[in-house]
Amino acid sequence: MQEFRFIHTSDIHLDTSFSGSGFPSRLGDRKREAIRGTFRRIMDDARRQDVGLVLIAGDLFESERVTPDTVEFIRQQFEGLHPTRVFIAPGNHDPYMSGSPYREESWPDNVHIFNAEEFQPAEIPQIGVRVTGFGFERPHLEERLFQKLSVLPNDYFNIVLCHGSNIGRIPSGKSKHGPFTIEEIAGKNIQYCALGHYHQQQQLPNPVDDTPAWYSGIPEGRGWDETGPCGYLFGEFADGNLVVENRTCNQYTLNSLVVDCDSFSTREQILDAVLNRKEDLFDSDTILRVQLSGALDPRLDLSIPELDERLAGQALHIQWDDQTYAAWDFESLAQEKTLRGRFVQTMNERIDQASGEEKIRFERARLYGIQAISGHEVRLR
Amino acid sequence: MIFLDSHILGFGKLRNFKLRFERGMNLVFAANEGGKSTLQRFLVGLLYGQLRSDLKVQRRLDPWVERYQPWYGQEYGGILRCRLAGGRDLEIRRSFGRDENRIEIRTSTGEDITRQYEQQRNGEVLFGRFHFGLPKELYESVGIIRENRVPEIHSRETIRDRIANLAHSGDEELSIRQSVAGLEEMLDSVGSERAPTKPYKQTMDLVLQLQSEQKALEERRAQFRQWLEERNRLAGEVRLLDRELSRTRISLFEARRRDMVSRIESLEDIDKEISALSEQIGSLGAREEFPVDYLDELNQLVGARNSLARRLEEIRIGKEAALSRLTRAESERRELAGYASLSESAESEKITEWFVSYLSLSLQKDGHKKTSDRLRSEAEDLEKRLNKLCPALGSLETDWQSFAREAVEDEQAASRNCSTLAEKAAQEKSKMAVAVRAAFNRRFIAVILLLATSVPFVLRHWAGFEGLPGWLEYAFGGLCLLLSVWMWLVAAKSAEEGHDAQRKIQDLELEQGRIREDGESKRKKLDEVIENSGYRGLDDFLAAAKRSEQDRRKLGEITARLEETDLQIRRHQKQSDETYSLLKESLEKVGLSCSPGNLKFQIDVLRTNLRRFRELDTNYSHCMQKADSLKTEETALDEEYGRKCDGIQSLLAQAGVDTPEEFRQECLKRRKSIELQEKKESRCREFNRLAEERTLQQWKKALQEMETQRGDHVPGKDPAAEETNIEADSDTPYLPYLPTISELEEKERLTASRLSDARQEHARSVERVNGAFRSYRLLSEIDEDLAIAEAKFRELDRNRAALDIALETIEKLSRQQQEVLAPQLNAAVEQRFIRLCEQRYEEVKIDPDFQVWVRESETGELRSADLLSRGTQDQLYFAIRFGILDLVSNENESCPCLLDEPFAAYDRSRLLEAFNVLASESIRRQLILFTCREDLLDIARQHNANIIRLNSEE
Repeated sequence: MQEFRFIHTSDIHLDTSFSGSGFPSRLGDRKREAIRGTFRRIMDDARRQDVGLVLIAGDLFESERVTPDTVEFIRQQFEGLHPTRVFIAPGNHDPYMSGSPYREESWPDNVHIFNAEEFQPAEIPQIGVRVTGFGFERPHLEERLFQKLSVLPNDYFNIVLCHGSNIGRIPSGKSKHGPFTIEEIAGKNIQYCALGHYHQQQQLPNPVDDTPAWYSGIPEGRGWDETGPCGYLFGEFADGNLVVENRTCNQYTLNSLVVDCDSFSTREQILDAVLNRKEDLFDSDTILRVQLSGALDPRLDLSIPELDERLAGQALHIQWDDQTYAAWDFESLAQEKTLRGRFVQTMNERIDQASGEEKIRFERARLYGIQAISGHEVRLR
Repeated sequence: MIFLDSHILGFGKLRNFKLRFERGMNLVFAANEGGKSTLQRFLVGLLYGQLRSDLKVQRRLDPWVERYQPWYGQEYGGILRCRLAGGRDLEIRRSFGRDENRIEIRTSTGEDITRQYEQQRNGEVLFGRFHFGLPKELYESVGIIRENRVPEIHSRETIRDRIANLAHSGDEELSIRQSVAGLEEMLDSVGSERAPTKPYKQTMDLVLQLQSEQKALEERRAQFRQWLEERNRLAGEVRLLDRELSRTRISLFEARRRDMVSRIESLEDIDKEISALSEQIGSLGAREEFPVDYLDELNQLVGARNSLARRLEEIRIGKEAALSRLTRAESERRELAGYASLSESAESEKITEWFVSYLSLSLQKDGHKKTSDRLRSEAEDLEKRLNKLCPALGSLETDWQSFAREAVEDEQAASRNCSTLAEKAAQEKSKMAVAVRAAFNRRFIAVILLLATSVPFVLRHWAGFEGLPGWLEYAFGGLCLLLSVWMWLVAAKSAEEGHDAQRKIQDLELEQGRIREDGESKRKKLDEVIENSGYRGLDDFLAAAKRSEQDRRKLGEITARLEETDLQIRRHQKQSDETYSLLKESLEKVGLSCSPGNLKFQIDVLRTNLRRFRELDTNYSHCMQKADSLKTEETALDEEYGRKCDGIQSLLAQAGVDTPEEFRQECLKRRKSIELQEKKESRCREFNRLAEERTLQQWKKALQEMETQRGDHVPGKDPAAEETNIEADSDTPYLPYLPTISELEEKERLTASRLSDARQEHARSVERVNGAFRSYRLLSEIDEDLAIAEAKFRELDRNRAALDIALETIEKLSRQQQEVLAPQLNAAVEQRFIRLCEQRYEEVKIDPDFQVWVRESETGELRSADLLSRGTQDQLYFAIRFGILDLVSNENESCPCLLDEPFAAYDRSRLLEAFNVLASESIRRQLILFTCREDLLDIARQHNANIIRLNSEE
C-alpha cells in the first residue's frame, strides 16, 4: 500500500442556529462566519498538507437552514481541493433527500457523496484506498447498518466513513442516529473508521481488536457542552503505520464559569471573581458564559448591563446566567405578626402547593412583595 | 422579661461598665455623646446578636459591629442578666467582631442552655425572637421608641398613615401604600398589551414580528425547493435541446449533400431532354405562318352551321304537328258553341248562386215545418193538463199565492192588535183591583173612625175614666165622625173608578173579538177553496196553483212561436218558387229542360259542359299561337344558316385549303411544333432554376468539396457525434422517408429557438434561485432573535404575573389586617388612653381605615384625634405605640421597651403628662428611658424611676 494522508472532520454545521445557546443574532452571525472560516482553514490545510482524501462524516451543514450562498461556498472549496478526493457521508442534519443540496446541486468530480442507507465502496486505486460508507436519506435512521457490513477485502487500505451513534456511550442530550457498537466495527478488516455525530473528539475504546475508530469532534464549538479548543483529525499512513492526531482549528472558543455569590455583597466582588479566571478561561476570542449561583444578598443590585459594561472587551461576548436566589429568610419572616409576615406566610403556602411555571411566579411574587414591603427597591429578575 | 443588670466588657466608648436595672421605669441619663446610643445598641446586640437578620445562611455582620469596636481594645462584648415572666433568671454573654460570634446563655445555676434555642445556618442564636416573638428589625422599630414624631404630623392623612404603617409593619416609615404604589409603578414600567411604549407590548410585538418573519422565510424556503426543482428541470431541458440541435444540424448537412447529388443528376437528365426535343421539332415540318389562331373560329362556324341545319329541320316538323292540332281543336270547340255566351258572361256564376239559394230555402222550409209540428204537439199537451185542474185554479181571476200571503198577513196584524188590546185590558183590570181594594180599606177606616167617636163615652161610662174634659171628648168624637164621613166619600170615589175600569175592560174584549174575526176571514175563504178543490193542505194547493200558472204562461209562448213559424214557412216557399223559375230559364237557353226532381242533375250537366267548352277554347288559342311562333323562327334560322356558310368559305380561302379537315391537319402539325418548343423552353428554365446561375461543372466541383467536409461528420469517426447519433436513434421515431432540407431547416430553427428560450428561462431560474433569500435574513438569525425575544417576553410575562400576584396579595392581606387589627388596636389603646386622660374621654374608636376618634365624657361628642390638643395627641400616640407593641410581641413575655430621647421638644406640662403615660405603662413592662435632659430627672424621681447615670470613664 502507498503512503497517504487524510483529513477527517465532521459536524461542521454550517449555517447553524445558536438560538439554543441564547446567542443574539449579531453574535450568531459572527459565529457562523467563524464556522465558515474554520471550514476554509481545514480545506486550506488539506491543500497545504497534500492530503490524498478528505473525509467528512456528516452534518456538514444543516439542510433546513443552509443558504445558496453557503452551498456555493462549499462547492468552491471542494473545487479548489481538486484533485484531492472528498468523501461525504450525509448525517441526520444534512441527509441525502429531496431538496438537499447534495441532490439538487452539481458537485465537482473529486467529490463523492454516499447517497444510500447501505454501505457502498468507493476506491482510489492511485493510492490504494477504499472508502466504504453510507449516508442518511432521512433525518432519523435507527437501523444498525454496521451489522450488515461484511468483512472488507484486504486488497486496499479500508476506511469506513459514516455518521452514527456509538450506543455504548451516548453523551447526555445527544440523539441516537445510525446506532452501532464497537463490537460491530471490529473484525471487519477496517483500517480506519471515520465517525461523526458526537461533538467531542474521541477514539472509541476497542476491547475486541485494534481497529481504530474515531469521532473527529466538532471543529468550531456550537453549544455550552462544546467548550474549549476544537479541531479535526489528521491521519498519515506511512511505513504500514497509521498515525492520527488532533489539529486545533477553531476561531472562537466557548467557555463556562460558575460564580458562587453566597459570600458577595457587592457587584465588584462578582467582577473580581470573573476577572480572576481570565488567564485560564477566556480572552478576546472567547464566548464566555458566567453562571451566577447561590444566595444573593438582597442589598446587592445585580445589574447585568452594568456588569457587561465593566467587562466590555475582556471577551468576545459574555453571557450571564443568573441562577441565584434571594437570601431572604422567608421562614423567619413568615413568623412575624405583621403584614409582611402574613404576606410571606401566604406566599410560602402558595409556593408549597404550586409547581412549574406557577411556582416560579409565586416565588417572584414573594420576592417582589417582600422587597416592596421592606422598603427596598423592587428589582425585577 | 426585665433586664436585671448588665456588664459591658467593651462596646464603643463603654468599657468594663456595670449597670443595674429595676422593674418599672428606668432612666438612663447622660450628656450628649455620653454613650446612650451605645448602650441601646449594646442591649439590642446582646438580645439579637451581630449578624444581619435578613440573611439566614451568610454570616454578614450588621453595620454597627464595625462602628462599636471597643475604643480601648477590651474584649468586644458583654453580659446581660434578665428575668423572664415566669421568674427564671438568664444570663446572656456575647462576643462581637468579624471573627467572633460567641454566645452563651446560662441559667442562674450556671447551666448552659444555648443549644436549647433555635440556631440559624449562619450560627445566629435566635434568643430575642424566641422570647419576644419579634425579629430584630421589628423589635428595633416597635420596641424602641425614639423621639416623638407627633409634633411633625401636620395632617390627618399622615397620622392615619403612620398608624397604618405601625399596624402593618411595626415601622412608622414602612408604608404599605407606598409599597403598593412601588409595585404598581413597577407593573406600569413593565407595561401591558395595551401600552405600546412599554417593554411588555414592545417585546410581544417583536415576537410576533419575528414569528411572522420566520413564517415568511419558511414559506420562501418551500418555494425555494420548488425553484430548485424547476432550475434542474430546465437545465436538463437545455441539455436535451442542445443535443437535439446538434443532431438536427448533422441531419441537415446530410440532407443538403443528398440534395446536391440529386440536383446534379437532375441537371444532367434535363440537358439530355432538351437535345431530344430540338430534334423532334425539326422533323415535324409545320408551316410557321399558318393561321392556327383561326382554327377555333372555323370550328365554331362549322359547328354553328351544322347546328342551325339540325334546328331548322326540327322546327319544320313541329310546325306541321301544330297545324294538325289546331284543326282538331277547332272542330271540338264548335260542338259546344252554345256555351260560348255563358262562358263569356257572368250568368254561369249566378246559376250556381241561384241553385245554392234554392237548396238553402228548401232546407229552411223543411226545418220550420218540423218546428211547427213539435210546438203544436207541446201546446196540445199543455191544454190537456190545464183542462184537468179544479175550477178555482182553472180561472185566472185569483192569484192564490198573493191571496194566501195576504191571509197570513191579515192574521198576524189581527193578532198584534189583539195583543195591544189585551195589554190595555190588563192595565184596566189592575186599576180596577186597586180601586176596589182602596174602597174597601177606606170604608173599613171610616167604620173604625165611626166607632172611635164613641170611645170617650164608653170609657167614661163603662170604665169610669174621667181624665178628659167634656169638650175634648166631644171634639174628639166630632173629629172622628168628620174623618169617617170624609173617608166614606173617598171610598165611594174609589168604587166609581173601579166600575169605570170594568166598563173599559168589556169594551176592549169586544173590540178584540171583532178584530180577530176580520183577520181570519181570508183564511177561512182559502180553507174553503182548498177543501172544495180536494187538496190535502195549503202547500199542495199553492204548489198546484204555481204549476198551473207556469203551464199557462208556457202555452202562451208556444202559441206565439207557432204563429211566427208558419209565417216564415210561407215566406221561404215564395222565395223558393222565384229561384226555381230563374234556374229553369237559364237551363232552357243551353237546351236543357228541368223539373224540381231533376234540377240538381241538370245543373251538374250544365257545369260539366261549360268547363269542357272553356278547356277546348283555351287549347285552340294555344295551338294557334304555337303555329305562328314556329313560322317566325323558321324564317330567322334560315337567314342565319346562310351567313355561317359564307364565313366558312372566307376562312378556308384565307388559309389556302379547300376543306375544314385540311385546315385542321395543318393546325395539328403547327401545334405539335409549338408544344415541343414550349417543353424545350420549360426544361431550359428548369435547368436554370436548378443550376442557380452555376454551371453543371461548378455543381460537381461543389459536391466534391462537400464530400471532403462530410468526412468530419461521418458516424464512427467522432465519438461525440456517434453518441449523439445513438441517442438520436433511440429518441427519434422511425420515419418512412428522409426529411427534406426545409423540414430540417425548420426543425433546426425551432430547436434553436426552443434552446434559446430554455437557456433564457434557465438563466432566469438560476438567478431566481441565487437571489431567493436576498431580501431575507438567515433563518438562524431569526431563530436566535426570536429565542431571545421569547425568553424576554416570558420573563416579562412572569414578572407581570408575579407583580400582579404580589399586589393583589398585599392589598387583600392589608384589608384583612386592617379589619382584624383595628378592633384589636382599639381595645389595646382605649384602656390606656382613658386612664391617661383621667376620664376626660370615655371611648376611643379606631376604624378599619385607622382613623382615630375619641368621645368626650362631658359632651358625649366624638372628636377626631387631629382636633385634640398636642398634649392629648402625645398621650394618644404613646398609647398607640404601646398598644402596637402589645399586638406584635409575645403576649406571654412582655419585652422591655427602650425610649430614646422621646421628649426632646416637650415643655414641662406635656412632659408631666407623658410621664404619666410612662408610669402607667411601666406597670406592664420594663421601660428604659434614655435622655440627656436634667429636668427629666426630677420628674422621673417623682415617678420612682431608677436613675442610671452613664459615665463611660467608669
